[in-house]
Amino acid sequence: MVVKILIKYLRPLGTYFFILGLAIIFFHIDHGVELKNATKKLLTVYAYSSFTQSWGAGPELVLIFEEACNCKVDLIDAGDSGVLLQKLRYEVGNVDVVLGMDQMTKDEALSGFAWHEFSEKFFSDIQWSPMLPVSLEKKTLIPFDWAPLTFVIRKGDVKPPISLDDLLDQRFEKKISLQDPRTSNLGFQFYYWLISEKGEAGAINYLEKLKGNIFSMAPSWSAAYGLFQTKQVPLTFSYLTSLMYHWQQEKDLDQIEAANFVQGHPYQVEYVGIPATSADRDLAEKFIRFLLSEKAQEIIVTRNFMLPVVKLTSSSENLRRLPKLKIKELNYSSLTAEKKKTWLELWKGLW
Amino acid sequence: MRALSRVLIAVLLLFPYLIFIIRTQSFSFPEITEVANVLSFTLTQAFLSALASVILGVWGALGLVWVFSRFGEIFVNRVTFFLLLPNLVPALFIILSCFQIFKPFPFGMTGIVILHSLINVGTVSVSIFLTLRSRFGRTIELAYVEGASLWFFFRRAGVRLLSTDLYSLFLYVFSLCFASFSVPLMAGKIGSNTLEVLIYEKIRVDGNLAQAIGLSLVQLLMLMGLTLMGKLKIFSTGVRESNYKWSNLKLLSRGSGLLMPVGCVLVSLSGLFTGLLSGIEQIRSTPALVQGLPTLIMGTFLISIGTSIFCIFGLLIVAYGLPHSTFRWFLFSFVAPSSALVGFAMFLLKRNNNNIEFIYIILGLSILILPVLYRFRWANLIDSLEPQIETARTLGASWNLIFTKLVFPQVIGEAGLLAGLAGIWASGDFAISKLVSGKNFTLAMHIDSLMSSYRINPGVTLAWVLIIVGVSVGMFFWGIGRVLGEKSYS
Repeated sequence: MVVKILIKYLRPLGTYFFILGLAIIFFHIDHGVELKNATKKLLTVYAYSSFTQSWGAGPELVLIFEEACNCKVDLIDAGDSGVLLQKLRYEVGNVDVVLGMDQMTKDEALSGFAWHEFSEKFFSDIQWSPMLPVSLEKKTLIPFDWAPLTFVIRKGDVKPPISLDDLLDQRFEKKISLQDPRTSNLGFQFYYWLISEKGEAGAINYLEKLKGNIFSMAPSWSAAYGLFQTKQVPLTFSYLTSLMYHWQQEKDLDQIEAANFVQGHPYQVEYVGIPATSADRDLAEKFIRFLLSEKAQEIIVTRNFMLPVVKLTSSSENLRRLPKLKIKELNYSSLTAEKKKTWLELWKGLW
Repeated sequence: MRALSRVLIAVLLLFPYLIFIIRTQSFSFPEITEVANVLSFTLTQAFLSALASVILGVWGALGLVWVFSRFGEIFVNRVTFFLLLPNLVPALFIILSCFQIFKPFPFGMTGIVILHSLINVGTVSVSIFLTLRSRFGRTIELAYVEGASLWFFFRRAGVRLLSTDLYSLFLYVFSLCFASFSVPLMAGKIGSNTLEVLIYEKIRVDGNLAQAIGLSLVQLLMLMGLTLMGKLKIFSTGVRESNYKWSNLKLLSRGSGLLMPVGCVLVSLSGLFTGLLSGIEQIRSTPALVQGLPTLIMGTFLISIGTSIFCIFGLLIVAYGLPHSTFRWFLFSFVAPSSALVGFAMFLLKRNNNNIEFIYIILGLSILILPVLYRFRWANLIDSLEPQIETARTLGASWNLIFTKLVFPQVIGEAGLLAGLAGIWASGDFAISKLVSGKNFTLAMHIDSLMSSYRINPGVTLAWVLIIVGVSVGMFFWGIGRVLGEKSYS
């Protein structure tokens, strides 16, 4: 009786059950590669989304490393750095390498998790780039790429700003897209830049004046940059290295430029580390050492559109073409979770 | 058995809360002062958006009546799916499209209401159109014969006959807008603070899951309060009976009504046309952008069909458990936690079961969409069967007999339609999928990644593939509902 009813009602669903079955098989083929490589050592790497994609740096780096180490690297897309750390709380025991924390989340990462400390020997033959604005005060989280932050501008639409105060000029009325500091690290970077330049009260005062020039404060970098790409705004806060994307991928050499501020620019450094709970810290160290090799750094430059942290013997043309921006020394080590919260409350009170 | 079905659904919907409370061992409410301002803004924008969507949706439904009377059933079904498209594509595409069309864009409350209305008017129009056909019964025919005007009919009979349906739809849009994330941030005035943003901030900046849960419970209580108000005011006077002889709706036919929902869809999707060619060009020059496309398509089918099937069973279990006043009120007022929280709950539940993580995604999506579907159309459909159920009970029929012979044949068609809608919506999800899974295996996840790495136009191109997959699943389940409905009478 039950079978009869099932046949009666489920038969019309046959085609889609077939597709569903096929989809499950596809899913398992896609997700089940580790079964095939069950005999090899497995290294689990947590990284942010754009790094892990087929067009990003991750897959190519993994491929080269897997060949060299005869191991399997499981590259996990763990979301942006804020979400990444929240997920890590519950999965830290299964992760060997965490890649993608920045200055905004570094303090939280250091206080929230135990990290493997690298020996002096590990760094002995690394030729750090002289441009890299940070030093290794703690040998737990290591920088693997970086980029100055600036305003990216569509040439000809508006005369580029030359300073933060110049951004207040009327020619930028409703022309700037920024990121919301509550939901975007880059948005917080801009806010922190203002606080460092002008002090807490000065920053709020500045934002009050800037209000009229902001077109939108988007929830993420991609949304803010989307406004710029679809020509809703002529300038947006982004990475200096965004220029490299347009040059390299869109063969667009003359349309986009970067603002060069007299007072200097903040920067974003991305860090990689090994949780102390990692089951195979030797292999994890090898992976990070590879990440800091010249070959890997070149891939990061061309696929991740960030600057290298080590000296490259021959840099790409796009890298050489990038304008040299003055870097502003910001005291990121004072950026505690408590302060962030206080500043966000101040920010919220402004609107 | 009926009690068990009710418990099953209640546990399923409360699942994310239970997981959090078990895993974090605590939950707390944030300070009143922190929530009060946020709440007033969130409520206002959701209220105005829902009101605008329902009013415009009524006008849009009259346009669909016109299409139905001019071109027939098949054509109107196609138009219907077209109108549902804004619910499928990522909100950012719609926001960018609107910014391009409305210059200067009216940022602030007006902007938020416009965007929310653009997204929801199509769906609301479709729902009201389907309701009109079954709800007006002989009343409209009598009014037509007696020569009543459209306004006279609406004033005297229409509003009363539709009051419960319109309130359900109002709550449906209200709950969607209440939990809206990107739209208030981008279209509102700078620094707009909604409850959803605050929840996200609690998770991301403070790492305070306990307060995020507390805020989510505030969200739940708000909607429960609103439902209670509606229950007292409207459910007591509303007419629930429906007539399955389709009404002759000639009196309501208004061609101009179609301009509203079609215009909304075209505005919403205009951005998908502008970036299409450039996207194709970029994909041709960088094939890595669509690497694994067959897997992504199959993954989208997996999530979409899986959610549809889960929802069909979920809705039927709900139908089996009704009528029951407390259960009905619970379902009507229940709002799932924010997608960020549901995603996190599913992530916690998944642990290391990566090979079946799609099941957790389907579960999470179903938890989010089931209350929405219930409010959207299911509640009123089941309510309209109450008189028949009461008669059958009086005559001594068992609950099982009532369900199989009376309820099932009358609701399975609608269950198919709603499951189809769930499938369409699920195919566009990336928020939950990305929290649960560490690998992109659906088109929506892939599109989000493309957009997060400068590639907005390739994302636009793939959005068209996503639309094809989503709509095909939606149409199939709608069709399957009808076939099953007809079979069950045989």
